Amino acid sequence: MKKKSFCSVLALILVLTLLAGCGQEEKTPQEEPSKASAEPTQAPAAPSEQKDTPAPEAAGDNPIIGFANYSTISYFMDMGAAAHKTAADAGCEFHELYHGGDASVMVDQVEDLIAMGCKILITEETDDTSMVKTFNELKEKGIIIVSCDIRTKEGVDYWIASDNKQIGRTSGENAVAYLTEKYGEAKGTIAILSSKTTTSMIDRAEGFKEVVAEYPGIEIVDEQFPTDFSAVNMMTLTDDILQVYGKDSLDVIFASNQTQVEGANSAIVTAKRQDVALFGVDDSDAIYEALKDPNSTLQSTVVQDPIAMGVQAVTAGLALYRGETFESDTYNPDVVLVTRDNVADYMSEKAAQVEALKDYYN
Amino acid sequence: MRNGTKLAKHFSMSDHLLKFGVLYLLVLLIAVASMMSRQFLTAQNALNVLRQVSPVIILALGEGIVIITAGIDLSVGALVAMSGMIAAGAVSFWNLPTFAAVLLAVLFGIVFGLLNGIIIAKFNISAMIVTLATMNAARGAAYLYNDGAQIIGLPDSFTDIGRGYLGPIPIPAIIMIILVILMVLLMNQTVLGKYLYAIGGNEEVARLAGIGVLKTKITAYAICSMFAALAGVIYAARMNMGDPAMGEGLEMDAIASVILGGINLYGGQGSILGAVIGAMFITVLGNALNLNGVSSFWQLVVKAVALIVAALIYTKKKV
Repeated sequence: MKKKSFCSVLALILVLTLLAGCGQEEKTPQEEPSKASAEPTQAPAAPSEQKDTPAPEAAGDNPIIGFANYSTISYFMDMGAAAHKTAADAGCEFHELYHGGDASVMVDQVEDLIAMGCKILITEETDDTSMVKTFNELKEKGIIIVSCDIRTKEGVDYWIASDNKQIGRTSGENAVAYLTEKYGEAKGTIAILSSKTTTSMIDRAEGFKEVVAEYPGIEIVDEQFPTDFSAVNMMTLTDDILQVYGKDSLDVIFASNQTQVEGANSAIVTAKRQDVALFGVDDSDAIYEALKDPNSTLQSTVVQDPIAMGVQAVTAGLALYRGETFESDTYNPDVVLVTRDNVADYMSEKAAQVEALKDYYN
Repeated sequence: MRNGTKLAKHFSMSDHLLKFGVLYLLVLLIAVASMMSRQFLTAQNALNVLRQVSPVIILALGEGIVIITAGIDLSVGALVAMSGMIAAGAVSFWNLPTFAAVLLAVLFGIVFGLLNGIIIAKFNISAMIVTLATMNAARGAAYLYNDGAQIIGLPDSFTDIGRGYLGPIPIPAIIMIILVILMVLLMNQTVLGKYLYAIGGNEEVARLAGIGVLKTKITAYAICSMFAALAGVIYAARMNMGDPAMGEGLEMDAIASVILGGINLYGGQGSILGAVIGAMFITVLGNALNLNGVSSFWQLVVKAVALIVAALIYTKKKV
């Protein structure tokens, strides 16, 4: 009897705690968490408003579309949902798998997607080279390959990527403007959180440095290339950077991806280092919250448009499958600078876009 | 006679190394780091390291008692994410007071650990297999909890657990110190502590001696998961968000801390304070390398060498 009661209590606690999350109103990634009410001013075009190519229409031959996606962070999930909706609107079956950044897993998943009958393959690759051989084999079988977010076009039919150097340049210009306002001239010290292995982050850091190099009064005093990009590790690394550069000896930290921004922001807020301004890339609910938090020094983040990328991936894939031609085999979506001034407007508009996709998240 | 004295000295030195080897390494590390970086030996950096190491020590305490029973728990990193999501969800979605949210997360941790322990001890399945499975289950649950999204909008009363101070001391450090004292007392002054060592030393002999092996092992896993849940709350508070991706790889830090601290991976030997010192060694090493601008690629190599040196010391001691 005692054992039964004990087991019942255990089961109740488990169920209650899990219900804490499930009991929420349905919430999709990137949904506006607070009550931003201002009208949107510069959000990216909604999926139905993409102008580069017409939205595909349902046709007699509706190929199955597969997406070997990266991971379940909001950026990739938004891209997947946009691709899914575009495929569904065109009457196509859609399958999505996540490889988690492991190239060997991705190879297996691509084989699984082909086994499912996919004729169009959209990919978020782990690096520039590991999939080239597989892609060449698939092309011989007539599979259309649309690749997202890598630097090389080798082996692919259509290539979609934000200009990561431009992302870095945009952030760099914003950082220079901040320093100029702070000191009355372009001078100050900067630390950079970058990578030696992830191509997008390398390009962003290069773009940022290109801009800063034009101002001799600005000095890059530190550049870190961590191997573990977890937010906790990025926080610890920034904790230590803040120890090396004491109060008023570091003006800016540039963080080149989502987890770096989240970790660096947490370290700066905890250390109460209002003298160190943070400039970032990528977005997440936590990053948007930081842009609105008076205790945070995050000044801006440069965001890509995964929804436009997802729409374009399916649109281009279908067109190529049907033998249509494109002016270019490349699509570079616009990037947006989200600052403390426009974050509420941007979030409001993004929330509306995500709401429109809510039935298509994996 | 002279040979006997030499032998006694040899064993005495071995025992000494067994008990204090990693402590000497830590002292040596602090001395070298102090010479190489003027920022290292400052009060500010000491508090910084204290904050960084606190959740790692809490994880290592739990992992330590499981390993003392000759078990292992690979699920603690994923549980950090899940418990952080539960606590963050409780304050953000349900508007529960911080105390209740923490309690809920800790209760979840205990239940999770009890399930780990029951499956391992009752059905006699390898702890590595069971906790590998529950690691994936916890990580999956953390993603399912809010459809893969982070949980934000946490009140200051919650984030203070990770970011706040009591006087000059970071709050995570205060929680950690209390837990260390409790665990040292538990392992050295209670029957449960003796049972844990006995089971790790030889489970069959412990059973024949009348020790409740099943209950004791289940208790060890429950404590381990409870501590992981607390660490998860601290990380969520520090990061100002519940994040389903949080804590990846932390189980390896916890296990490395335990090994560095001299707890025998096959159970029955080692001090829980060793796990504390092991965690401190790993964190201080990372801090010292960061302060000296050592590349993260080299940091991996240096940490690997430290682990092997520690393993060699303990292997030599057992001869």
